[in-house]
Amino acid sequence: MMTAKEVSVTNYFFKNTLKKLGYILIWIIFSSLFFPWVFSGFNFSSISLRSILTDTTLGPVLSILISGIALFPYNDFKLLIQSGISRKTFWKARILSFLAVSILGQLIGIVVGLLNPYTNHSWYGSSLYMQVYGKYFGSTAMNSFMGLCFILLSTSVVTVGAIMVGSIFSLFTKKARVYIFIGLFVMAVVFINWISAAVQNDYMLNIIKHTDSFLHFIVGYSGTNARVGAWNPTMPFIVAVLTGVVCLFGSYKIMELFKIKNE
Amino acid sequence: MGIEVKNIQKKFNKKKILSDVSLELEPGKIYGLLGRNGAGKSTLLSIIANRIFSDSGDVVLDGESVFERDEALGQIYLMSERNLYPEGAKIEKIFKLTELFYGSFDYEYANELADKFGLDVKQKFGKLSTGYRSIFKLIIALTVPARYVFLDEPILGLDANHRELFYRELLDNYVKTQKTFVISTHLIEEITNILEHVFILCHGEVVIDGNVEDIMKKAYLIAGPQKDVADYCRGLNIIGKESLGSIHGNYIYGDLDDNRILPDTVSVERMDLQKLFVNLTNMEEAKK
Amino acid sequence: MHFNFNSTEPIYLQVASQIEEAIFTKNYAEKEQIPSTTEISRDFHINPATVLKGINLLVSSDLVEKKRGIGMFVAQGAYEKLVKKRRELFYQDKIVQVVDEAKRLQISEEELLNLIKRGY
Repeated sequence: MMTAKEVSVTNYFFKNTLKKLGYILIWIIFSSLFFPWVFSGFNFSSISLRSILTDTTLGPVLSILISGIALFPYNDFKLLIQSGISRKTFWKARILSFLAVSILGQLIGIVVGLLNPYTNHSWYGSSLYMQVYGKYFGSTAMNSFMGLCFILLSTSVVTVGAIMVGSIFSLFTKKARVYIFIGLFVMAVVFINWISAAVQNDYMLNIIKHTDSFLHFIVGYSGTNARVGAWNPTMPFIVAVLTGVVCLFGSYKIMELFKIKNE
Repeated sequence: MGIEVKNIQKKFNKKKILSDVSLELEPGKIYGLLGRNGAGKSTLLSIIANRIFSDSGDVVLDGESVFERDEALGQIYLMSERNLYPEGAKIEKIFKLTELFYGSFDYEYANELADKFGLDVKQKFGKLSTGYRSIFKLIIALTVPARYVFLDEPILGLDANHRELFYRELLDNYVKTQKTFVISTHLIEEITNILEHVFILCHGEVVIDGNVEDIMKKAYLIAGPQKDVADYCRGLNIIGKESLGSIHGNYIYGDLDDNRILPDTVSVERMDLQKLFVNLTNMEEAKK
Repeated sequence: MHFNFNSTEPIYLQVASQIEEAIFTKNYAEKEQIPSTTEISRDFHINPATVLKGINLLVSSDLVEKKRGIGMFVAQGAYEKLVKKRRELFYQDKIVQVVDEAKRLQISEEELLNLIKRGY
């Protein structure tokens, strides 16, 4: 059950996130009309609403935007700690509100996708899950239902993951964050160098093979169901749930460490 | 009942900021928390309000730890130099947020105070000057339904008129609500008479903890010719010395010896809280 | 009311003596209401508990009386009481000293009386 304060904070995050999302969407719509207009020599007739609508799949876009918003929790934390709210409530409200927004976003995305006059109103075209796993079960209804579950589950995992990453960064001061970014960048460069050097010997090839079979395992590919569309979705579900649980737990543990920084 | 601060310790980068601070706040009193810069006042207040963590010790409200408890934290408001409100939000919007998070908010009172101080509630928080940021935060502090209100440097940037008005409104509020206020400030003279109880913090330790009147009863200035003063003060707790020409003064904190005969040449006077503070903290400084 | 506080004497004593002075100078007539604890506290930035302590001194010496729910008033006969008290103080603080000093200066009783007459 939720206390009155938990409800208030969750509501606040929910509304605030919707507001930010709306603001970003307006800008996206504006720029997706503005730039084609400019580059077509200020000619309105050349903008094809049809191509814009067919090219855009709302669900993934919303998922990315919401995750982006979830990356920056510190300002909200400042306001809440000033307002006598505990970190526990902060975490709970944040998880609940962002999950609600993302799930809502996906549902809207699906509805818009199905109503979109320029697509074929089919799950199979617009959902990666349906393309890969959509023929696993015998019944279409079951496949569609699992597809829906997977979309909602995966968007939740992505959001919770973003909340965790954001909370990690919020532990550091601005200066430390810059150093970490530089550090990660350097590590990436070194790693790529190492790979490209290592690929040339057998040892590395071995690792890649193992990685390959590991990936197959994760995505549910077993050779026997090699036909794309009928892969086994069990492993992806398990992986998503596990990742979600780890991120939930991780973000909670990290937010417990939140404090007002001296900067 | 009240807030108990129990054995709080805090280090920053191996530097000791608070070493074993314990104190009690009873409901319905005005406390002063005094200390020089770097004495650890803000750190202590931040720990009480759960903004940062202590290394050890606990803060207890009505018998239960305040740590991570909404009900307890909702009874505490810390107004500090740090600005934790969103820069882009309008004042009236922050009033609303405060209501949302604290459960209630007296808009009428808040607007009345805003009027008196000349604060425009349509203004954005980020656009306010230092003085008006203080005023805005003071208004929230006086209006918020928390029973324990901590004011860290409340008059930062306020001009003399606004300070007068603030003391007035603070006392008015105190009489009406019987909340507990803890005021931390460098302008000791201005608040001496407002305080009922005072804590003096020095190098992360509480060196004075007591009723202001009782403390002032033990604070003396013994003045006269150097030799007579020295004789009279032998063995007493001398916390500072001062001399002007041949007149010598010893600041004493503690009881005088009633059995000693006061020479005609020596006078016993009182000192005020500010003098006591300056002498005590100087002495502690010299010990280091 | 005009208060003028110094910072070394206990404030509650100062509160009491200032109100007493105002009664003595008839700034507050008998049966007239005096400012409330809250008003004094607010106007002069003094902790209300301190103000109350000062006023209670006046109440216990019957100079001021509290009327529940209404406020505080100068007691009937307060002025008389004050005059009496101050006359006594005048004798103790001033006359005794004057006589002591006169004796040291070898001024006789008669001479002292003459000096006082001259001063009048």
